[in-house]
Amino acid sequence: MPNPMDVLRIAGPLLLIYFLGASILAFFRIRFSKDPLAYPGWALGTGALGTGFLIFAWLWFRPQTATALIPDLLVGGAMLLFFILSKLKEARTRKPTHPLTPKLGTPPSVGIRFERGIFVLVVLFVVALVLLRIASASLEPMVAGDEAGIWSQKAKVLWLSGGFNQRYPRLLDFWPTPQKDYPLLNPLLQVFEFANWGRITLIANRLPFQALSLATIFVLAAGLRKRLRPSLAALILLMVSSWRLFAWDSFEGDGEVLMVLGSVMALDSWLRYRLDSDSSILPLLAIGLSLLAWGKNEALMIGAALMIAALLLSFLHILRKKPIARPSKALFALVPPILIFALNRTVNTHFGFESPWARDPRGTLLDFFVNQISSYSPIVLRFFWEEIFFYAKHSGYVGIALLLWILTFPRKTLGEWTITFPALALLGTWLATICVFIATPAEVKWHLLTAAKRVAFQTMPACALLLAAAVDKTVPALGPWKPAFPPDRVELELP
Amino acid sequence: MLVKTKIASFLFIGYLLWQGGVAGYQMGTEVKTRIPDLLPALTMDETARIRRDLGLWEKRLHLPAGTLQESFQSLARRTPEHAKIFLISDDPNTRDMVLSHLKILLLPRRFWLLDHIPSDWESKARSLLPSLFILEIGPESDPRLREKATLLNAGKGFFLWEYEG
Repeated sequence: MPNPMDVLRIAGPLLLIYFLGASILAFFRIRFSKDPLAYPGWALGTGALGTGFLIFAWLWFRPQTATALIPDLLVGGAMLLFFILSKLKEARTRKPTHPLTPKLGTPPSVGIRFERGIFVLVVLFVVALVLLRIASASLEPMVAGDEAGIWSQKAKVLWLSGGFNQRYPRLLDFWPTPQKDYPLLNPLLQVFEFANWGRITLIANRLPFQALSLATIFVLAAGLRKRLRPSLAALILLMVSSWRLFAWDSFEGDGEVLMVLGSVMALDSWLRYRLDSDSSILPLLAIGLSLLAWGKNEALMIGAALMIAALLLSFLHILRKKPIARPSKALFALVPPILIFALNRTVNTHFGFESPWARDPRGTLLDFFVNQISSYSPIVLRFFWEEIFFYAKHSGYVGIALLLWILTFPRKTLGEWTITFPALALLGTWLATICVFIATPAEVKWHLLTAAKRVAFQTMPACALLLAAAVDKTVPALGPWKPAFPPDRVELELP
Repeated sequence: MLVKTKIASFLFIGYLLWQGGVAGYQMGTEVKTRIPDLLPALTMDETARIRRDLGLWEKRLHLPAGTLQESFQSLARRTPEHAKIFLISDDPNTRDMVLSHLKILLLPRRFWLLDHIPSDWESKARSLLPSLFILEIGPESDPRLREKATLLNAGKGFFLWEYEG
């Protein structure tokens, strides 16, 4: 039987992460009532990011003791601080409110209520399955793949060296650790687990990532429900949850889950901001993008794709002599991820880490790309065609479905930024991924087999959400049910 | 236009019913296969989970039951964290697996892989002192070790020695 203290050690760090996230969200006035289904996912994602920052700060300033006390106090203190700040903010801006008589719309039909029931059942089923996957994974220690060789190894070295000190780069060489330049959020969350257990763990350090895989379900389910009829949202949720690599997210302590959750959170927030005119959601856009930026280096590719998509759309507006969209509040959401990119760069420069590809004596990635484009393109394109876009268990043809939908309704979907911008960014990300594999300095088939599916998968759940939004925008009958309100009665006084 | 929308909607719903239906069936099957994991997942501690996983590897590598599990526990209990360990096995599959698993499970201990004990093993061993251990995976032990090292633990398929110079 597990030690009762172990149960506390399992639940404690996760609860701290959750409540830190909830306090930060409260500071931004994002409360449970905003979307009770998405909220646990938002809180876990936000808390993971906040915990990452605190552990980074702790490890940077030379921790003296390997105890849970300091990191737990830091997280608990930050939680309290954000909670107090949110209350102060609330008290300062509270306005006297007049009781409003709720406006009664038409009640949902029996059919809609039935569909809602199905949606709830599907969400419960998927959550139960994810919990089962987590339980299965907990029977295997982290001993294989990138989970053990890169992420967990880096966390262990960080723990053994006692922080970001001179021993850290030396120990990374002593226990040869690949990809030293990778972003740090994953190892930092593992170190938080080590601190709470007071030792290196071999299974429990996967827990934050498994919790984030559950968070993805909540955010995705809520995002789909906002865009589609409940029964259709339930079907997409079932499809995405059955994908092999989505299941993988609940099994592994890899960096992928941070990318999947980050992209879903960012896209869902963008859609809520644009389609529902909800600017209070923008902090979540920033948090989603920050999870991407601190999750894996692929975020640089996504960042570049977003930038090119924005430039291309602006250019098209100029060509059509339409006024360019004014810089929106959403631009502020770019500040935190840009700061995180800068932080990654600073840490790598400080320790002299760089990508192994950056100093390949045979040439730069561009040299490889030019030299290999004719020989590797057929291999890489064929792999992406057969094993990714046309492989149901990987992506359920969702990329193809989105493309076909946009091509069928180009005016309604491509008319303005809401769908076009993320669609172009997705396309750009996949094209960039294909180019990276064409330019690989490694043996191409080995590299494709070991990495291509994982990298291409990172944005697939977000693609499913974008498909739902594109459908909603084009065929409102497939969109979510909205109550119809009788027109307000206006008493006119005749002169 | 209306016809196009209707056809597209119809195809979209058909696509979701197809993919969602297949997904629902697959997930139902997955639930059935995972339910037996629930009880051990709720009751085992970390060491028991590691032993269980190593037990599965013993079957895959056709090693006597307990070889890897007991090797792991002996190393964890009887060697200090800064230990240096020679890992000896003449089967390359066992060697790769044992190294990849044990070096991760027992970090920060360091491992060196050997298929047999070389003739000049003592000079190499002396240069690595103190805290040098030798784990032999196999049914029999090398007679040279009996003379020079102290046996700490042994099981059906392994011997753990300490070399003190």
